[in-house]
Amino acid sequence: MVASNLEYCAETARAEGTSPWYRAPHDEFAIVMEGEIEFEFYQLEEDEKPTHEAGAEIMPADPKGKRMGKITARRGHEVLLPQGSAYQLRSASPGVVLFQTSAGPVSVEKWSEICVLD
Amino acid sequence: MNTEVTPEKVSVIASEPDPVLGYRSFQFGGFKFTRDAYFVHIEWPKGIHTIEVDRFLRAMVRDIGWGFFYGWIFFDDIFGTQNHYGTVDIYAGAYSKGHKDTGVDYLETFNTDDVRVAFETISKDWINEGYDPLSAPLETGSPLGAKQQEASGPLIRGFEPARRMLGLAGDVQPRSDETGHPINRAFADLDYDKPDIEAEPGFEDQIHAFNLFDHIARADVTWNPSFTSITRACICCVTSEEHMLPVIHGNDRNEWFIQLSDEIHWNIQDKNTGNPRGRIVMKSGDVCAMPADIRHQGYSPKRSMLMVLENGTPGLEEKYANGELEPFPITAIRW
Repeated sequence: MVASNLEYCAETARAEGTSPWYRAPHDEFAIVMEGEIEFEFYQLEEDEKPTHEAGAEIMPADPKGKRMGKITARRGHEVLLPQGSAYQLRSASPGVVLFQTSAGPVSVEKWSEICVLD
Repeated sequence: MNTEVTPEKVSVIASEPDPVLGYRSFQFGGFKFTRDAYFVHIEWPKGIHTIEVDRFLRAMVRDIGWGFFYGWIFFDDIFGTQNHYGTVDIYAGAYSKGHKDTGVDYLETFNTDDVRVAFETISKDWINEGYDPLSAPLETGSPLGAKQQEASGPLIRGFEPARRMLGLAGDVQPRSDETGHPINRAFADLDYDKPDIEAEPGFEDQIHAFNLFDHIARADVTWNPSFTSITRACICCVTSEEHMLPVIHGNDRNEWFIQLSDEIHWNIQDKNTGNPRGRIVMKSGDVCAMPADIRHQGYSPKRSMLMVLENGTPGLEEKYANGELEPFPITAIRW
């Protein structure tokens, strides 16, 4: 987490290799800051939809629903991670992603490590 | 300011044009606005204040376009507006210790629509063709001198917000050559391409991406955040900045800045007293919180790209004002 505004936040991640499958109970957005990253999307079945309040969570299993498609994004591109979808990121080499989302189960806070104090 | 009572309607009253310079003066409630070749003079029952005309008009048109924004818009350390989301305070000296101590401060509350009409009326009379207060100074003409032909273009532009995400079907579309927005000179060295979207049949309207940097690079306005993506009440705005932010923004909630390119230098002051609190130079990749108890003003030596994250939850300003919420976003327990 790099920005925190009550329940909402911006999070950044190093993207390398293949990520888990994620889902969230609301839209999220990803901005590619560095690299080339593939976003794969599947439509969630009714029994796969998240039951938690906010933020992304890792799915317990691969999605079962219909494949929605794929987006390949590069520096400066913003990608919709739509509510109702499962999404996975893939990157052959290290990249950087900035997420606009809510704080949730996989959010990590390291303020004492990342803040500049003087 | 009494938020319980709906103010009476107040109309702006225009004088005849000045016989020498051609500009009208305007009376709005207890405030009188007059301009000459170089300055705007603001009078109220207990005082008078002067602001350089370029500074004043740049602040005024943005105040209008932002719908009076979140919280306080200080045109300078003396004069400005505060948004109460239905009413607007116009104040002079109300947040200046010297004016308060000497009892010459003044504040009046108006209906939002009345203030918007008044400010639009003033702006239209005082802005000449060839001068665009929404452009950077290097990109436009001068506001100085006598009245010429009034500017013919729209008074405000570039303020249409996305409802979910720019470029989605049915939503606001990103800027492009086709919309009359070429890449700005300052960003000509960047590469712009489109993301590759491969949608399965039936899902063409459900997955989406666009080049955000391209959209920002094509802005023909400065210091004008445009909503690009919204999830629940989390609003992401992006903006193209050059020269100085023509207002000092007094927050009524936290906001966060993410510097996407180049750099901006920020002066941070205590919101109520104006006392200096700090100075931050943000460079590309830097992230900074602007707490709910400060005012800030930015200086961008070269055109830069800035992202702003806002929490648009209704009523949030009251929770910060009454102390229910701490003014700064990261409290000790999370450190």
